[in-house]
Amino acid sequence: MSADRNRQDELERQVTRALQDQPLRRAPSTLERRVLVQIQSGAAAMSWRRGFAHWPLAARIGFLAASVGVVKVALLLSMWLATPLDSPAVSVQLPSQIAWLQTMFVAIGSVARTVPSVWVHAGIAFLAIMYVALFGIGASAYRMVRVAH
Amino acid sequence: MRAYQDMVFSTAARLVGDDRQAEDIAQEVFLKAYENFGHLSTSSSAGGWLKTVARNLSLNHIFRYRRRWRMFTELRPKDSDEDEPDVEFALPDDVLAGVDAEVRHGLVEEALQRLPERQRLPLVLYHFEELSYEEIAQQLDVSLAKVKTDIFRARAALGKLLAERGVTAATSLGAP
Repeated sequence: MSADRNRQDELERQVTRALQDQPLRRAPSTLERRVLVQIQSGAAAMSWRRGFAHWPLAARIGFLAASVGVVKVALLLSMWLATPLDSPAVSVQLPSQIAWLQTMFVAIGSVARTVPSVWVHAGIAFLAIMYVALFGIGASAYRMVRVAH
Repeated sequence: MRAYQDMVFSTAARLVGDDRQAEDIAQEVFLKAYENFGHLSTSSSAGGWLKTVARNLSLNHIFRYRRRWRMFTELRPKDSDEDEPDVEFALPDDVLAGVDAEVRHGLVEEALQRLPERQRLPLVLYHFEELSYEEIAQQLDVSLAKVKTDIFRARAALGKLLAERGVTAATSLGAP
């Protein structure tokens, strides 16, 4: 037991001595150029390819305004499609290929009008809570996996 | 970058045991440093930051590769010891004494790269990264006993390789 211990200590001493004066490896001469090329190509990349936080302020404001506009148009379109067919607001005959869309929105609109608004609000709140819970579980799982490795 | 590139490359090369992969990892480290330039340029611990990132990226690279490979090949429990024979090791004190320092350094690096990954990783983390056994076990997600066994076997294998190569080198250099 003691002889084994001595042998291990001697081994550690010799390897430590062999490794302790080991100089750093010289990096390849191509490394610096590779990094610079990557940095330059990254800087030249279009800003929208980077994260939203890195966008110019004007672009971020414009994007948010455009998003709000799109949402508004989508809501208006949905309301228009959900309007009953006999309404005077509907004067355009939709092509047969997308007529099912109108039928679907009409059905959804009819259901929505009969459902009490408190149910709608409760449903939205429930979905929001579930989304936050899912996000939290995902983040916790990610942290656990990261710690494990 | 010039001040740190050798350190970053050495860290990656010794861990992954492959110069080309180490260069890729070193490139990634410096790109991360560039992204954090605002913070690092005023920090006195930039070297430590770079070393830690190089080590973590190297280990991530190894684990990614290992997971992919294990799916096809390895069905053994991760802590199971290989059925290796007990090591027989005897490195004479003066085995590399007659060898030029530069040649000796090259031999050591070569011997390190020839070690199997399960031995090289804990050995490099212990001797070059100066992590404790416990920290190595945590980083590699293995038991403390396995870390100790692998480091012992790595030392033995390294000593054997050095003894073999050292004698060869000494002979080829005309040393006594």
